[in-house]
Amino acid sequence: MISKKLANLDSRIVYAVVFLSILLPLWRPLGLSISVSDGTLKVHGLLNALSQDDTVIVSPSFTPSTEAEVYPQMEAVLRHLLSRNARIAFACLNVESQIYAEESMAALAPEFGYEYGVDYVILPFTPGMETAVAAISNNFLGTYPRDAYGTPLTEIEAVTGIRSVSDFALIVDFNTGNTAIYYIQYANPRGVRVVAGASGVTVPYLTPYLATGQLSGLIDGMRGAAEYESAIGYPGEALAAMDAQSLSHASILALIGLGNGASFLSKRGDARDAEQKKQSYGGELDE
Amino acid sequence: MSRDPGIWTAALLTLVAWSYLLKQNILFQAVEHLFVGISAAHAMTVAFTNLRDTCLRPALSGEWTVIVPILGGLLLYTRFVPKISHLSRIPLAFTMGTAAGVVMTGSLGPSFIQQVSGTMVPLNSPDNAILVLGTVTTIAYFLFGRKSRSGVMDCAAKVGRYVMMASFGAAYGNTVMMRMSLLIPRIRLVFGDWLGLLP
Amino acid sequence: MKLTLASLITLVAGITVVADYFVAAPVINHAASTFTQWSVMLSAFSTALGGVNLLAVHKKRLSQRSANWGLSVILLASMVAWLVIGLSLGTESSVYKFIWDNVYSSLSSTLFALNAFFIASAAYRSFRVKGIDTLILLVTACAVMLGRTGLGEAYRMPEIADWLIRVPNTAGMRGITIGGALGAISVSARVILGLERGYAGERRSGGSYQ
Repeated sequence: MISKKLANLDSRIVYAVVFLSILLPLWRPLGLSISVSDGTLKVHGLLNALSQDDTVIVSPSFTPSTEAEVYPQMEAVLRHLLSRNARIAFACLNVESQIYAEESMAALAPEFGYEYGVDYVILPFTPGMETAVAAISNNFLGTYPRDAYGTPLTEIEAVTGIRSVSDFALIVDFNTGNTAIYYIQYANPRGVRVVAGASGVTVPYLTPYLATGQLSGLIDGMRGAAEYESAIGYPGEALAAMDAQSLSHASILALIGLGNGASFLSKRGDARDAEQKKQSYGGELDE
Repeated sequence: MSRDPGIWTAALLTLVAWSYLLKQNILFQAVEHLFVGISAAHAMTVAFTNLRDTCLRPALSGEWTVIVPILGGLLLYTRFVPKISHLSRIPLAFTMGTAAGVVMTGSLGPSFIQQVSGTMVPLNSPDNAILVLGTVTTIAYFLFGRKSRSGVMDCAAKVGRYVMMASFGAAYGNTVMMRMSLLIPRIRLVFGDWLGLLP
Repeated sequence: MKLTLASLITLVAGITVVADYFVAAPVINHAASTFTQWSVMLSAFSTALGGVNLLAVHKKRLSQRSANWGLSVILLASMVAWLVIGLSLGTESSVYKFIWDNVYSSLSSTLFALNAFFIASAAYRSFRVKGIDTLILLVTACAVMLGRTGLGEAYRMPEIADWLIRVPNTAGMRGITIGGALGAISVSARVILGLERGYAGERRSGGSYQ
């Protein structure tokens, strides 16, 4: 009977379990520690190897729907880039990208003494995704004659000496879609390394490129963001959320276990009922 | 409790969105339409600003080459005028041709040749063996997913199916991580930033 | 005739971009680069076209007083209001930022986060072991989930999860990537050669919509 009730459990109870598994650790943190994965360490190592003259493309190719997962990655990586005094060019492939570039630099630039135009530049929105990345890779200055605010790129100190995409030391793409694959397909063959910070859903599709070295490093979801914060020694939003993340995963695991248990018991009960019915019919027939 | 109107707006909208978990309701639908409206408006604002800066301004300052995409872009809108709507095919055909060329060249080297060559690794470790066997059998599943006449290929396709299940399982695990990551800040907003109940 | 012209344009644009990959001729390289840039500019027109289309659909719903026309009023009002603010004050203005932070961004993430509840419900109801396939699926999913938490640290779960992602997942996804690349190449070739003209309004039978 209980197995039947469990098998037909009200969805709202499941929702409440998930809700509480997140709320409770936010209210009373558990302080669980995390280790740093290889993929995150590779990105960290590449950024550490940058010199002051290097210019890096940072591409915030995510949307507000996945901001919670990818923005902390971008914040941690930018903090690291700024501490290395690297020059940055933000490439905007989404309609939201420019706002993320502005927002992140508004928060970090004063702390590191970064100045717009001198140390970083925001390039205008380039629609077309795959075609846009191909255009940037084929002809960088042709695609970007001006920055996002209309200043000719030739007058911007942050990109002095940049003629093509090969002149960049690194491309860091933060994505929830295929943009990292586009950079791998069109920019990487021109000799520029590509690393990505990706949403958990996208990561499995990027690993084949990581294995061949076409992708030089990969930050995996919120856990990756927390690892990067830990690697640079600056605990932020992602590390603070890891306890809630851990308990919510535990709740899903428990739900899967309970669902399977209930299903197994319910099936066994059904089989027993059927057997009993068969026996009683058999008895009646005998009589 | 917060006194910030921004936090109040965000928290109330979050509560309305969550109300869908109890039952479909008109408030949720209203919020859904509000979201679609502002999302489309944002895309249009950015697109118009982009067109102004990358097409209109250069054209006015004498860069005549941009006239071609401007005319092409305007032709796209002829789809709203039934008599000349066929003209919208011209820019569409051009975009499709360019995109097809781009996709073809992009997929050929990095996603096909390099992935195939990346699978040609020495079988000197269990990882490499799994990688090679897994890749080959997954392709076998796609090519011979329907019953082939060869027992070996059927067997390979079956192993490929198992490998894909492992891939999808890993992807599912990561998907759960993503969904939970998105929910955490919303709960923090309502109970922390708005109600002030969280440390 | 109209379809032939469309096919011809597609052929010229596609062949030029493909030729750019194989041939180092300045004329072709320049033409391909120009074509991709024009295509990017055309994409901006299409982005705006999507919004215009949405306006047209909801204006029609409103004028016909279709079911739930009130929702169309909300959509149109919010769309027009934000468009006016965006175009007149700019995306850097404080009003725009307020709506971005507290309405757009907030709603976007909340609506997407609802999936967390649905995925939990689906995990409870549908993620059942029914055979060896589902057993593999369940074991890898649970291992990766545990590996992505601080709870699994003591049992080396993050290492196991990383291995699962790095080896078996890569093997499966590589097979899919190679298959996908072959598919993309063949579809692109069909588009360039004019064998696939659905985008130009061609019906499967060969006729045209217009």
